[in-house]
Amino acid sequence: MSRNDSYAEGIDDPEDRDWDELRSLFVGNEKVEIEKLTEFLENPEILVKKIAKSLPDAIRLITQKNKDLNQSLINALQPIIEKAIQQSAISDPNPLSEGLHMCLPNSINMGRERSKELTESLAESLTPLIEKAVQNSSQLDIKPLSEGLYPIIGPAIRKAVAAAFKQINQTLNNNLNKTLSVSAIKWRIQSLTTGKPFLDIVAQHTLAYQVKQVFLIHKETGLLLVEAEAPNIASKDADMVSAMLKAIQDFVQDSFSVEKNEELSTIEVGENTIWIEQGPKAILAGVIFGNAPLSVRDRFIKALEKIHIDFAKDLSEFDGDTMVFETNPQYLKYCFQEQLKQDGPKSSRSKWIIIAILILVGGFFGTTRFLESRRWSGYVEKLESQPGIIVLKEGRKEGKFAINGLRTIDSINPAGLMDEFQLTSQMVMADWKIIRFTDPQVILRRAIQMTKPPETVTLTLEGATLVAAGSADLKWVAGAEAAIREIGEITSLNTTDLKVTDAAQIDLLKRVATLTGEINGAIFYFPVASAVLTAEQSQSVQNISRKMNQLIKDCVQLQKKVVIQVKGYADAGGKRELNEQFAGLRAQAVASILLREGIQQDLIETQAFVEERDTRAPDPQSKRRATINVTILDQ
Amino acid sequence: MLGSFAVGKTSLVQQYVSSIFSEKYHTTIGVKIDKKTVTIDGQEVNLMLWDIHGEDEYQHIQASYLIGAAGYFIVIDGTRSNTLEVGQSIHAFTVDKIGHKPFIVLINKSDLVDDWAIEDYQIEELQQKGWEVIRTSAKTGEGVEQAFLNLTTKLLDSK
Repeated sequence: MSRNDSYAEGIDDPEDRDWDELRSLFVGNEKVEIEKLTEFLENPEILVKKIAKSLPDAIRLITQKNKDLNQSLINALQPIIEKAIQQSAISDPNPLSEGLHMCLPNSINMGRERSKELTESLAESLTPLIEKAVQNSSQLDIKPLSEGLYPIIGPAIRKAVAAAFKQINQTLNNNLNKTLSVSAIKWRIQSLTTGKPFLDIVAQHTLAYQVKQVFLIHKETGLLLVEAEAPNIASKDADMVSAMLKAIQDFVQDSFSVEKNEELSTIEVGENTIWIEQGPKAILAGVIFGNAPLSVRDRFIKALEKIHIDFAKDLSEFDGDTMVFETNPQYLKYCFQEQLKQDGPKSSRSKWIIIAILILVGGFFGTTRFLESRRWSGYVEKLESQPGIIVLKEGRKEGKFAINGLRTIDSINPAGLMDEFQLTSQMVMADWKIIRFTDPQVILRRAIQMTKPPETVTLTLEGATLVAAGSADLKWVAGAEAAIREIGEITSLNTTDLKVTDAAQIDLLKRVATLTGEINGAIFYFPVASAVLTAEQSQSVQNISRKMNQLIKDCVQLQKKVVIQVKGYADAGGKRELNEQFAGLRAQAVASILLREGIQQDLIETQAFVEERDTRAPDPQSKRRATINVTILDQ
Repeated sequence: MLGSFAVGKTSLVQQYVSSIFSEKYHTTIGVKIDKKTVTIDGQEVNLMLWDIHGEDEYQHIQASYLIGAAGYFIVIDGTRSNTLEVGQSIHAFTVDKIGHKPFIVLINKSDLVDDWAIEDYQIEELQQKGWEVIRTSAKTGEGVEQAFLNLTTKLLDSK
C-alpha cells in the first residue's frame, strides 16, 4: 500500500491508516479517477483549461443544432455582455472603438438605406452635435469652415445680393422710367438687346472709369503672382506695390481693432479707387480710375473665384514660382473694363421736374392771362357799342392793358364800365380824347343819337340849327331841346315844320307865357304914409287877378304851379317901424284884392321892404310902391 | 529684415536694393518694402524685402508682418552689445510666430573696429547653435551681397 494518498498526506493516525486501506480496497481503481476529480475541484484552473478547450465547440453545437438552447444561451449571455461592454467603455473606450470604428460608417449607411425613421432619428441626434461642432470649429479658427464654404458662399451671396439688387433696380428702373430723354430711351433699347440691366447701362454711359491695373497677390506672403495693366498706363514696380498692399492690410487690421474675419476691401484716393477682393488663398486688387459700376466689381469677384478653383493646387503649393500664373493671365484680362465717356447727360430727372414745375406755373399764369384777356375783350366790345365812343387802339402794354380813343363829352365815361369786367384802373392805361365834330353829317348823327326822334320825325341840320319836321309830342320836343343843349355845335331847335301832337298844350303854354308877361312887373305907387289904392289901381289889380285866375287854371292843366309874390315897399325916411308897417300894408292892399277875386291864399306870398333913400334919384315917390310877380314852377 | 532699433538695417541694404517707397513708411505703418534680385546658377530670384521697423522699448515688432516670410535676417549692431540680446529675442519671437525658417545673422557696422562691442565668443555661441553669422558693413558694403546670396541659397534649398 503506497503512502502517497494526497488527502492522507501528513496524517499518521493508525486508525486513519486502516480507513485508508479500506478505501483503497473499495475504490482502488477509481482512486486515480477520484484523485483526478479532486484535483479538478481543488484546482479550477485545470477545469477551466479543460472547459476552455471544449467550450467553443460546445457553443457552436448549441447554436447550430439547438434553437431553443441557442435562445436560452443568448438570453443568459445578454445581460452579461451588455454589462461587459459598458464596463469596457467606461474603463477604456479604445478597445471598443477599435472594433467599432470600422462598422460605424456601415451601420449608419445601412440604417439610412433601410429605414427612414432611423435616418430621421439619426439626423435628429446628430443635429445638435453638428451644430456644436460647427460652432467650435468657427470659434477655434474660422479658416477651415470658410475655406470649405468659400466656393459656395460666393455664388450664394451673389445670388442673394443680385436678388436684392433686382429689387432696387426695379424701383430705380421705375423711377428712371419717367425719364423721357432720348438718351434714356436709347439706353433702354440697349438694355433690352444686350440683356444687361438698365441701371448698369445708365451707369456705364454716365460714369467715366477705367480699370488701370490689376494685381493677383498670394495672400499669405503678399507676393505678387501676376499683374496686368491697361495700355498706356505706366506702373510702378508691381512686386513692391503688392507687398506694400499686404503690409497696409496687416497694418489696418492690427491698428483698427477690426474683427478677425473682416478685411480691407476698398481704398479710395482722390479719383482712384483700389478694390481688394479677398479669397482664402489669393487676393485680387484692382486700381480703378473714376466711378465704376458694381458690375465691374462683380467681375473681380468672379475672376477671383475662378482662379481659386482652377489654380487651387498651385495656390496651396505656391513656392515662389509664378510661372503658372503668368502664363494664364486671361482671368485678369477679364477684369479690365474701360468706359471713358465724355460728360454724360446728367440725370434728366431733375430737369424734368423743373420743366414740370415751369409748365404748372406757366399754365397758371397762362390761364390767368387768358381769362383777363377775355374780360378785356368784353370791355372793349362794350365800349365800342357805346354812342360817342370810338376806340382807336387797344391791347397790352408794359404788363397792363392800354386803350386809347376818342369820345364825345356826352358819352359814357369808359372808366365807369370797368367794374363790370373786373378791371381796375391799375390794370388799365386809358387815354381818351374829347372831341367835337365839324362834319354836319356827324353832328346830325349825334343829334339823332341824342334826341332819339320817333319815326314820325325827321331831323336835318341847317347850319347850327337842328330842324325837326314831321310830328311829335310835346314831351319829345322838350327832350330834344334839352338834348341839343349838350351838343355844342347846335344852337337851336326849329320846330316850324313840326306838328306838335299835343298842340293844345302848346297853346296853353303860350297863353301862360303871355299872361305871365302881362302880370309881371305890375307896380302900384302910393303917396306918403299911405297904403290905400286908388279906384283906378284897384281896378287894375282886379284885372290882374282875372288874368291870374286864368293863369292858375292853365298851369293846373299843364301840371304846373303858380307862385304869386306881392311885395310892398316904403322908403326909409322917418321911423323905421312905421315904414315897415306901411310897406306891409301896401302889400296887403294888393293881396287882399287878389284874395277877394278868388285867388287861393296859399299861392300868394307877401313881403315888405324898406329901402334907403337914394339922394341921387330924382323922385322919392318911386320907393313907395307894391309889385306883383308870378313864377311858374313844375309840380 | 529684423533687428533692434538703429542697427543699420536700412542703410545696409539701401544701395543693394531697388526701392520705390521712402523711409517714412517705417514710422507710419512700420514696414518698408524693397526688392532685391539675386542670380544663382543662372536662375533669377526676386526677393521681396520687408524692412520692418526696429524693436525698441516703445514698439514691438508687428507680428502680422512676419507672416508669410520665407526667411529673414537678424541684424545686430556690432558697436552695441545689447542689440545681440534683442536680436535673439526677436529670433525667438519670430520662430514662435512662423516656425523655423531659413535665416542669417548679420553683425553690422563692421567698419567701426574701434567701437566693436561684440566678443568673438559671443559669435561662436551663435554659430554653435547652428546659426550662420556674417559680418557686414553698410559703409564699405562688406558682406552684403554675400548675405543675400547665402540666404537665397538657403531658401532655394529649403524647398
